[in-house]
Formats: sequence, C-alpha cells, structure tokens
Amino acid sequence: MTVTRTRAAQYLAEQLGEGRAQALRRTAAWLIRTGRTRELSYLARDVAQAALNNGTLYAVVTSAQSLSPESKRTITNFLERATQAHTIEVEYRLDPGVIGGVYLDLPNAHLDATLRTRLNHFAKGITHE
Amino acid sequence: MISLTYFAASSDLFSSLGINWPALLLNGAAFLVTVAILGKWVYPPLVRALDRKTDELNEAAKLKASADAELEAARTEAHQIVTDGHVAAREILAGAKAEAQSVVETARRQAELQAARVLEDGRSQLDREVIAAREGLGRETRELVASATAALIGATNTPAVDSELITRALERAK
Repeated sequence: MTVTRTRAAQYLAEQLGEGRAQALRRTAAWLIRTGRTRELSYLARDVAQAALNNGTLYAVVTSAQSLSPESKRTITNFLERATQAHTIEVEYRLDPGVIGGVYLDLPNAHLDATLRTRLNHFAKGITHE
Repeated sequence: MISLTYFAASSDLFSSLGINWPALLLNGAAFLVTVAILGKWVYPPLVRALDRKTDELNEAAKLKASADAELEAARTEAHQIVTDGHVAAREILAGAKAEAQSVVETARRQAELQAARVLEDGRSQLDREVIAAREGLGRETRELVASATAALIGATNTPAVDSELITRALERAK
C-alpha cells in the first residue's frame, strides 16, 4: 500500500497529541525507507496544516530578544483570534538580526512585524501605508 | 563670155605667176589626203582625249565644289556641335551647381538634425544620469539611515519597548 505524504501528515498530526516521539520515529523511518527525506520540509508544513485543520496550531515566533510573558500572552491571543485554533503550541526563537518586533510563522501564513524588514523596506524605498 | 575671157586671162595670169597646175593639183590632192588622214585617224583621238580631259576637269571641278560644300557643311555642323556643346556644358554646369547646392543644403539640414538629436540625446542622458544619481544618493542615504537606525535600536531596544512594538504590530495586523 502506498502512503502519500498527505496521508502521512494526517497520521502524524493525529499522533502529535500523545505518543509524539513514537510517531515522529515511525515517520522518520518511513521517509528514509521510501527515500523521501528531501520532502521533510514539505511534510512538516503538511503536518502543521493538518494539525491546524484539527484545531491545533503549531507556530514559530522569532524575536530579537526574549519575550516577556505579557508579550507571549499577547501573541497567543492574537493567534487564537486569527486561526480559531483551540490548542496553540508556539516555539520561540531568538534572532538578534530582526532588531525588534516579531516574526510569526504559521502553517498557511506568516506575519513579519520586525524592525529589520521595515528598515529594509525603508532602505529600498518601499512605501507602506 | 566674160567668164571665159576672164579664165583665159587668169590662165595667163597663173602662168605668168609660175604656177604649175599639175603640181598644184597634186599638192592639193596630197593636202586633201593629208586632211582626210588627219581627220580620220589623228584628230578624233586628239579630240576625244581633249574631251576626256575636259570631262575630267569638269568632274574635278564638280568634286571640288562638292567637297567645298561638304567642307562648309562640316564646318557649319562642327560650329553647331561646338555651340550645342557650349549650351549643354552650361546647362550641365548649372545643373551641377544646383545639385551641389541641394546636396549642401541637404547635408546642412541633416547636420542640424543630427546635432539636435545629439543634443537631445545628451540632455536625455544627462537627465537619466541625474535621476540615477539622485536615486543612488537617496538609496545610499536610506541604507545609511537604516543601518544607523538598526545599530541605534539594537543598542537601545529594551524588552519593554520591544513588547510595546509587538503589541502595536499585532493590533495593526487585526
């Protein structure tokens, strides 16, 4: 039986709640066995999208410095309103290159509110509202 | 009677004059034979030869007159040709002058147009270069300002300011 990437993503998204480590190992083994390791990034995106369809949001938030609890709460509230997800898991990453602000990476969208991007736009003469 | 008397008298006269009638008759006959021979065989060739010479002279005169006429015609034709040549040369010269003026005028207009195009191209090039210089200067200025701003913010940004910045950004994103 041939397992498509969409079906594997759906399986992994359903297993992320409990038994996540075993599901990840089985998925990794399936990728290696089928020689589709190059599709890992696509699979991760599909898993996040499938999880979001099931009401679980996995997001990556990048900022220049560690965010305060208030900022994290603000971001979580924003993500709840924006995606209607009932479960939200956020991975916070630090990147001094963004200077300030935040970059939200969602399964189907992203929000670039970093000072680095705004300064780049200013340097390139790109006007905003 | 008178004639016989006169003849007798004449006979005497001839005799008195020493004329020998036989000799006279023989001489006369010889003369007539000579005249006959001359008239028969000598004079006709001479007359014919003279006539031929006369005809040749007349023919030569005619040829000379014809040649003179042809010479005169040739002179007239040559004069006409020279005259026509002068006229044609003047016309050609006039045409050449007019054409030369036209060529010079055309070249002058083309040179003016070319100069105008070169001037316009130069102005356009100068305008483009000015615009490019302005854009380059503006871009460099913006990059410098952005770099300075990034350095300044990076050095002075505090968690509180960053939190405020994030809150505003998320509110705008609603």
